[in-house]
Amino acid sequence: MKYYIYEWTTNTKVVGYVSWGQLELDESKVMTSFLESMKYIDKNPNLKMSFYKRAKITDVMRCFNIGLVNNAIISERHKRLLENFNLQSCQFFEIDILNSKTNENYYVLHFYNNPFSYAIDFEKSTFFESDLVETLSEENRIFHAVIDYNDYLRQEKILKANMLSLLIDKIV
Amino acid sequence: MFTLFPKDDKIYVSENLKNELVNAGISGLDDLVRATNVY
Repeated sequence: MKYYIYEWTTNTKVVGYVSWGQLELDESKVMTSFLESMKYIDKNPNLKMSFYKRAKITDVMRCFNIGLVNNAIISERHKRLLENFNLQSCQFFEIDILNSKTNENYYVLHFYNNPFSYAIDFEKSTFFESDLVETLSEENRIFHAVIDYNDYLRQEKILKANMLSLLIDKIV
Repeated sequence: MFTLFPKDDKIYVSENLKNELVNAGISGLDDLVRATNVY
């Protein structure tokens, strides 16, 4: 399975002349540390945000006060697209944009739980070590037996110290 | 199969979702470059 990096663009032609995001929390005192954690949020935080003056509206936005790693601000149409997929460990919370330039609703996309920690049958899956440029051909792969997620982390740490990484050959 | 998930300070998308995002013209994303070392 091929994966791609989903990252907010810093291209000013797309997002406008903003440094760390098009939006900022309206109340800077609001505690958002719960969003930074990868925990399930059982109540809508009812966040209020404002656009920076020179911001342009996009389907994926960033809020200055909230880290993008576990959270992104996404449009209604982006949310609908995501809902067509079987997403695991994602929550959507509608936000209130006080000076909104559009009628579209926007949401915080929040991730909770690391799916690797519970969704993989490690003993039945197969893993191999690889260098950073994947120069090893398939027939020369060195396979590793992995018992569980903690074992995966332990082995990955050892390999990383040697500029190697543990890749998944087959997920079960 | 994982479709969208965070790992090591980045968010990753599967190829089929990436194609949907591109086809739908979802704006605000950097070029969706292939990640060679997801796991």
